[in-house]
Amino acid sequence: TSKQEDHSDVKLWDDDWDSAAGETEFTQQLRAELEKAGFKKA
Amino acid sequence: IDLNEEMKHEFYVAHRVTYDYYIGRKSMFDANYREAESHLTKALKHCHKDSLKNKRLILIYLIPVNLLLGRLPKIELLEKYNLTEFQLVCEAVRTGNLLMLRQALEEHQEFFVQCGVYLILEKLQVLALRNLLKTVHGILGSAQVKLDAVLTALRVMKETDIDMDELECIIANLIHQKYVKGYISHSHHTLVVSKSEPFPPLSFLR
Repeated sequence: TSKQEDHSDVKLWDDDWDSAAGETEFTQQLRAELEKAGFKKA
Repeated sequence: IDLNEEMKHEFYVAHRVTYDYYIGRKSMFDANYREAESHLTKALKHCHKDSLKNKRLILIYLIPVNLLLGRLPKIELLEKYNLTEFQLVCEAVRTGNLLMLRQALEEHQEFFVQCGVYLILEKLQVLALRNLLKTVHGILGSAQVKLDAVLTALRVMKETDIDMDELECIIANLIHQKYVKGYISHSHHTLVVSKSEPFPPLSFLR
């Protein structure tokens, strides 16, 4: 039966996105708004 | 429904796939997400490679379940099965953008309701909030996160109904559910997070 199966789909998931999360457009927008409200990086 | 191993082998693979699909769905609606993930992944793995329609049906449930367990589908998977309705939802959860999450759910509400996953996807707010706190914590660069800053971030995302009391309650729940390691200083309106792994890796959900 394995010839009739394609296991590649079970590999198309990302478990590691949380640690790899970098700067996004949203982060930049949030930083700007927080700075505007007086919250700056310590 | 519990089948012993001997009985399982007596079934045709196709029947096992169907069995795992329905048990997976049932587990999802019973909020047993780990069990749902196990059955739906098995169904996806053993589904006939040419049954793209059936694989798509399995994924409609496996994607929300995996999202709740902190596992995101890669864009190739969404495109391959024409499930791009989930794309913005994933992006919103990843960044903690509650406004984007609300908009994504609204935009594809009919599709999600028809599939029966709308209420499950709404639960992703918790994960999005955890990621928002993580982002705010990263921006401020301090273990002491002023709750006023979090309220400001929420206002940016047009979450205007949440006041300080409700925010403290939401964060207390996040701490209780182990999404955040820390405590709330009620008198200082501050969330004080742990110096080591303040936002524990989501593998604890799985």
